[in-house]
Amino acid sequence: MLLVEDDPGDVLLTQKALRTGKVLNSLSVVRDGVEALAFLRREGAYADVPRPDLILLDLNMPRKDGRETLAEIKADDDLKSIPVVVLTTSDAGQDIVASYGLQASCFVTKPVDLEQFANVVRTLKEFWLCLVKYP
Amino acid sequence: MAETENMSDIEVTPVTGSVPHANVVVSRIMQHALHAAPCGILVVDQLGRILLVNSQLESVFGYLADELVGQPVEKLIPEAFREKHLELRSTYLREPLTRQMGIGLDLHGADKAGRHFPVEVGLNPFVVEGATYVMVTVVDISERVAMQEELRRSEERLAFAIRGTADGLWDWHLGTNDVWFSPRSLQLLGYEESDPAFAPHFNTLVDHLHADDRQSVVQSLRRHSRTGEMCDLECRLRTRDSRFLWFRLRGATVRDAEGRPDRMCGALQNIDRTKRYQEALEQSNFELEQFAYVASHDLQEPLRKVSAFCRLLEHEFGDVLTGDALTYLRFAVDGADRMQRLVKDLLSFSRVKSQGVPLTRIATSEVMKTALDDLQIVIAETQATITVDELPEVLADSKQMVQLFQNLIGNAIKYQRPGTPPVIHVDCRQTETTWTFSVADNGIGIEPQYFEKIFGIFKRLHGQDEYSGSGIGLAICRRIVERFGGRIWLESTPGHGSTFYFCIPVHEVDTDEE
Repeated sequence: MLLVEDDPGDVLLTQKALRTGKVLNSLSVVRDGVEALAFLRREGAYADVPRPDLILLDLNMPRKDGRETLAEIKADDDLKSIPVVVLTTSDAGQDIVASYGLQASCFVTKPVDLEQFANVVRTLKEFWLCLVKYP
Repeated sequence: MAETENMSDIEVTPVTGSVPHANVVVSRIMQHALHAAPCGILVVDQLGRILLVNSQLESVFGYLADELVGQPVEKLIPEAFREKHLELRSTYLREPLTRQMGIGLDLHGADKAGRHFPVEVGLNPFVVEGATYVMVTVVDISERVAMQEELRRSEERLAFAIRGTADGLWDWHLGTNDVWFSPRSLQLLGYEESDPAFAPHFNTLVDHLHADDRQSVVQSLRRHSRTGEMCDLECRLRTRDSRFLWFRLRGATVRDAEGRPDRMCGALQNIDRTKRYQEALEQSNFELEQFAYVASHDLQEPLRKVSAFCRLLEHEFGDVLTGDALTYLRFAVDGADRMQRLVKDLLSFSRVKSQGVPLTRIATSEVMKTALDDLQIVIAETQATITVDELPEVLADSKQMVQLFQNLIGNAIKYQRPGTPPVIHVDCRQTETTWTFSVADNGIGIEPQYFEKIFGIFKRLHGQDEYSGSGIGLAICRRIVERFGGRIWLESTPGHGSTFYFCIPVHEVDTDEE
């Protein structure tokens, strides 16, 4: 699983949530969109990283922001099959991405209630993994 | 009056008995003709004595023939003019011609009752056996004079209006496309009052229109001139010094006798200042909304952190922390959560305007269903009974109306009397211009001195531990209702219940916002 998130507090919370929900097996973290694409394309320092089966993407980040990153992932034939879960702070994020016609797999509001968040991510992971295994 | 032809040519058919003389018959015909004439007729000799009068003359002046025959004609003239009339008569007899009398003078007659009235007089001289006689025709023109006066006054009024108004006027002849522009029209566009460069033609208007407005204005004017509807447009016109100002162009179609559109007349008004204020206001509002949105959004982030990490603390170190520490944490979390809700509510409040959609016809009954669906859980929990009357179609924003009812009914349920299940009734009454809705409950009620206060932002009458909520619900309700062009108020009896009323105009209202 790849988490693309710039806020250290949110990184910690997400890690906690996934650990609590026993979802986490391996979570990689990158701090912005540029890093995210390098990771996904296994460029430079990321030459040996595993291919994530799910991407958690924060919408507002410096340099390449969430929307642009999402657009680029979906435009890349090699990467577009990886499900992307967009993390937003409010429902407004949905409007923005929706209006860009981007194909986020789904939206999750950033966690306050960690257990809930963990459940959501777990469900998503299972759902998408099933899709991948049984097309 | 019939001319006398050759009397011998007239055939007379005998009826019974004696054969009447041709003269007598003709004479009788002439008598009838005289008295049937629609104008007053009198015959006067050269000494001014009245020899005969017809019936119409009798009725116009109110005399019988006997009273006039043999009398001087001055009897029919107001005393003040009699002397003058004598003069006029002698002048006339020196050169008697068939003509109208006293052209350019205001002639008056005097009737038996002494009433003076305006007359038109025709003079027709003839000679019989060497003596000059005058056949005089008299017509009472009181009505005509009155109408002329009315017309003159009306034109005078119009002339004053044209000079006095700050608006320019125009009159467009649809056939020739000539346009009369009032001096003020030219002035408004920076020209001298009668500048020859400003040709009185439709093309002049077209030429002065801003390129972006040209097509739509011309199309609109032509369309209105055909359909006959009043037209009311805003457009930019070029002034003499090549600036563009905003003007309001209004016009109404004038039809000819056959009912076909013939001309279009209207006014030209400079609305530039108002328009610029409006644009500035809209810009300012837009920036304000953006600011409110961004502020609310960015304020929520840190709050979320506080809340989330406090919860984590509770969760991971709960068993290690003492009772007090846990209490502190609880208060911290609650505070953060409440702040978050406040910020969300503020956002919701500002969105009433920024995310409002144009008003359309919606079925309130549908809105009601949605609102009640959303409140299902609370309704079940409190065992609330909600009855709804037949609800009409109104001009509103569907999403906001759901919000409105949700807030009002939600409140009605929330503020129930302890131990008494909420009983709520919603109905609607129509007046000439509005739909008035009411939401009546049997809750705790509100004291009159707080009737205004409760609509304020974040204003509450109870502590958080008594009833939850941020106090924005009613402020949002009021903002929504006002956006629809209506108003909201309430009646209440503490201890018994409250009824909230709001009214919405039936027809479209020109609110500043739209």
